Amino acid sequence: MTLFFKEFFQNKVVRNYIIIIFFIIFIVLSSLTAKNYFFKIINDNYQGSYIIVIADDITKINDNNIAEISRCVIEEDTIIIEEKNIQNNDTYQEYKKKSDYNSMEKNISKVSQNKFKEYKHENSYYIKIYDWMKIDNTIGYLTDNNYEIEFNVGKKVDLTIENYYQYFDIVIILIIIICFIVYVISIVNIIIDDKTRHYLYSCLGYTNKEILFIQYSKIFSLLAIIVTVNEILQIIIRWLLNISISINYNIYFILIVITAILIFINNEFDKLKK
Amino acid sequence: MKRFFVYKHIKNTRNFILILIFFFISLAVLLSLTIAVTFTIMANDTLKNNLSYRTIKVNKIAESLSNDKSEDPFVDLSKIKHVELVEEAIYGDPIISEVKEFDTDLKGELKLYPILIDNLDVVSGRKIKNNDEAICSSLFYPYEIVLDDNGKIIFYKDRILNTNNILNKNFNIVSQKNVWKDTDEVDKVINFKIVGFYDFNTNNTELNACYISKEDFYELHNPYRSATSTLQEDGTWNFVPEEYDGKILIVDNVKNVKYVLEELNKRNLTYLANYEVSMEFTLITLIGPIIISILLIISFIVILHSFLSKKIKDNCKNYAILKSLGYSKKEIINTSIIENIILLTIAIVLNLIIYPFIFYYIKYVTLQEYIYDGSIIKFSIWPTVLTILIIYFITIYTNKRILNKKLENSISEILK
Repeated sequence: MTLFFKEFFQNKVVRNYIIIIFFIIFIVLSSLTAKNYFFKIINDNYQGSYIIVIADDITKINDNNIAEISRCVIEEDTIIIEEKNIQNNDTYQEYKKKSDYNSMEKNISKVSQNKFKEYKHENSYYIKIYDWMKIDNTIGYLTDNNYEIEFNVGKKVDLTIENYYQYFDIVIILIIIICFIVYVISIVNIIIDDKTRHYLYSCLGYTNKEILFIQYSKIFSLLAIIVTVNEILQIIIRWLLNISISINYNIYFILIVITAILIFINNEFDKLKK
Repeated sequence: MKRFFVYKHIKNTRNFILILIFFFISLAVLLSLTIAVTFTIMANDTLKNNLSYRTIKVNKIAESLSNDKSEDPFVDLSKIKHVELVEEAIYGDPIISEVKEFDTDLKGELKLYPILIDNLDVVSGRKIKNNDEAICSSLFYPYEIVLDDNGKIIFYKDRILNTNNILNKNFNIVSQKNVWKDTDEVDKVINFKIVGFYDFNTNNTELNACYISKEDFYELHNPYRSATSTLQEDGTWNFVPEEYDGKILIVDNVKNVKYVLEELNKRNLTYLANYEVSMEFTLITLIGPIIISILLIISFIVILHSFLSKKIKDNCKNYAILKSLGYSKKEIINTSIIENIILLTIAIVLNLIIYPFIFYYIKYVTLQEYIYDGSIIKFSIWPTVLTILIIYFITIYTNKRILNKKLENSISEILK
């Protein structure tokens, strides 16, 4: 088996394709990182905005844009939110009121579950939002379902990039699609180049199943190396840009499925030819 | 003979794949350079010329932070470095007014701004010389924003007015001075004449924006910034107006807004800025797409190298025939280069057809609602020119290099 890998990775053509596939996956992942970065900038701009639902039963609230619902208490100028992740008795001030102009603007503080017991909670719940750009839909959903709400949607600065975000989004998707097409072409070429060797394997007595297994192992090991290096690079980039570090499972799933299908189709074609 | 050779080879499968590679890679480079150019234009053009991006509203001293309330908090604001102008806060909010003269099936509506700094490029007509004159956007759409059921702006691009037809047209604006006042006073009306149109491309305000003199603006503007409304027992609303109590600052350059905001922070003043330039963001939107383009180009070189090497191997018999017929090495190389240039040209032509479609689809269909408020995505020829030059150069250079390196050996092997 080691011999097969050695022979595969020492092939000049394969080495060329490693560079191509590495860059393609890097472009795809970087584009998604850039998309997340823009998303973060735009949502950070809504710091200090809030939605509070005043209701006895919140279990029926089901909107895709709602990330979390926490118990809260509204004091004169401050919203105190119960935060499960805070362990000690400290109060963490998430937002400090900046202007006296807007009476709806409030200080936002988070306290631990223990500390929250000191406050008299009635029926107010603080809603954490995923995407503030879609806030109108969430407010619409809550009002349509007859929930009493109190909200303040304010931006730190009037960012022009919010309008450009959608444009960026579409172009990035187009670039990703093109990258996938180039990826398919590259994988097809690797498979075609490998055909001569497969003929030799069959002459040496390997069965079709064994050859298919060797082929899957070779291409997926190539993919695993490229993806691992790329993921490490992405983690560094995301850490530098201060955005949440998460693994792009969806992209890897698509890559694996595309590659598996291409190898399978090629094998079926070969069977038909024989 | 040469023409036949080229024509015959364009039609084979390997060349078809090469066209696809040329097409997709150049389209990806083109799109990524378009992002870089769009955001560069946004940073250098839109943000630089549109006054609202360098306007800061200074509200008042934060009560909790103020130590000495007797001191005038706005004193010496004009002495802050990079502050070009200090004006009363009232000039920071535009007047939005119905305009019956533009009523059609759409309701006529204008957004009026005062001329505080004369930075407008007039494209037709002239600048404002007197009161009662207005200068409007060269893309003029003097109608109310219509929303669809999903709350999205509906913008009728074909309803943009031809500026030649409305130059010197008059319209009336009713003063908003008495909106929140309980008075029998008759509202003042000013009749404006459109004397010119400013270039929308260099001053991206809304498409229904017009500029008027500072004096006219003051005459028409509501003196109150907001009003608290309470429903009375008799069913009528009672408005308690709040007066403007701040200033607006105009900074000399959008890049200096951050510096001025820091200075305002030091003075314990609360403020509202339209835009804070993030150097990190500006760098990423420029450098990111350029890096992506470079990586795509490197991938392109590697793919091309691999493809052309195989092509030479496949075609070495044909090259040997040409050599036996007396063609020189230079002529054979040129034949191969012409063949690949034709393939590349086909891909580039396809791109030149598809790219404008993609661009205008995004601009006028997907992002239709953003055209109205001035955030228009500008078309630039530079990404196209750059992509074509880079791709042609790389193709010719790589082709020549590989042929010079491998052609002689391949032919001599066959001729042996």
